[in-house]
Amino acid sequence: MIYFDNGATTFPKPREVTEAVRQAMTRYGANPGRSGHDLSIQTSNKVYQSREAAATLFGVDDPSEVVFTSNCTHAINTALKGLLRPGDHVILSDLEHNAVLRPIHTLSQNGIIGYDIATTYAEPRDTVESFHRLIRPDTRLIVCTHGSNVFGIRLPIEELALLCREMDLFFLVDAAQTAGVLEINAPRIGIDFLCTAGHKGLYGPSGTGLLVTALGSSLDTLTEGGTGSFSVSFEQPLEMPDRLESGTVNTVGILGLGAGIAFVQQKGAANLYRHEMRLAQEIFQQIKKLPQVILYTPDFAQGSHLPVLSFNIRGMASEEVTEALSRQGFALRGGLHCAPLAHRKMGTLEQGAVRISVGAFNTRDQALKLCDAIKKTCRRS
Amino acid sequence: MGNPTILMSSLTSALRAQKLLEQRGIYSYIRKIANNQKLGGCGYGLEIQGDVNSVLNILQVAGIRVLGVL
Repeated sequence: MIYFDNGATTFPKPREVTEAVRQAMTRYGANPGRSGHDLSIQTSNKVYQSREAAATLFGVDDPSEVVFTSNCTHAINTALKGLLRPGDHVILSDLEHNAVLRPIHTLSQNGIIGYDIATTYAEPRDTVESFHRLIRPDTRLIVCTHGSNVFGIRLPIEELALLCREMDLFFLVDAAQTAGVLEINAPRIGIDFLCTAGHKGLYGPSGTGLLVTALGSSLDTLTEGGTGSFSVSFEQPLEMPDRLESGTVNTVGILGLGAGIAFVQQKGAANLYRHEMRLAQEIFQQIKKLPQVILYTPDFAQGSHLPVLSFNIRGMASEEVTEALSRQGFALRGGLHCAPLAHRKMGTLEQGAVRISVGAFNTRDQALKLCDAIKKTCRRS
Repeated sequence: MGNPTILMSSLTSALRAQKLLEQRGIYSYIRKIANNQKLGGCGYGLEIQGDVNSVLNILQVAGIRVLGVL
């Protein structure tokens, strides 16, 4: 099977990640942050190394600002529900994943907050202006994906962060598709809450995610419980990361994630991005020539796009296409990609879209074989 | 009398402090502390070999919170 579904989760994982997971199961088996024996402290130290690696990757000085979560959705929910208060207004983009849309919509349905959706444009200035127009006196937060999980469109988070600073708003970025692919220095950009998956561009195991924030102590908590600290108190500690990490952490996942981050740092996010974009661009140029293929962006350029590309074949449902490609040995995702706003924007809410998402281990040969398979599928349509 | 132990607000803080001190050539050992009033229960301390005041100064400059010294 040739795997082009890296936007869902990257596969295969680097050998170092598999080894770190094996070590977590065989060598670092104690509960970190609970006991005082050497094995517990050694395990805690390994968890800390992963925390430190994530802090370094995202430009954060203090590793206690890194919270391990179970995925990006968990990180987003932790930040949104911890921050938002009755009467707050939120602005999000029209490319958001359900991980953002659903918690915000739920808070709105429960009468707690209001929200508006900003239209995004190819020109960053227009996108920023679109957000700016929706700001109201009660607006407290802008939430924005760093890049669309369906169409690979990158959003101008640097400019939006500037807008948030000017208007005294909090800024949350969903970096599920970009962490490990694009350089992100959260404090320098001005991101208050950086949420990401650990199992996508950071090459960790599934069941891992990150929330990076200097504001953790001020958030209300989604979950309370044991933290191994201030244990007499009935109150959840303010101390980070304990405040947002109740219960035993996912040691196996976190150690694997640390190895995944080390892999990204060793290769360099910029190099990984260039490699993946070259393949995605080659696929884009090849399939653009096929009259049956529908593409959703006029170009597919380094800088403005991620190595995530969606298409359809006229007369076929997206799931039919992915099924036909699966039979030819290719793993791609079809359907709605948990992003109804993005599909509504591109007119693919009914048909869905076939998504090609490139990873570090894909090769040019695999990309060319995929193009051939798409050509064959077109002939059947 | 043994070496002084600095009471830390979390294990993550203790690990951060330990690493920082290691960079300055100061050896420390992380200990679990049982039910201490300053820790608000059980928690972790950093047993150090060296001058406690200079260590406290290093931690303060780095913004690492300390809850007390045993």
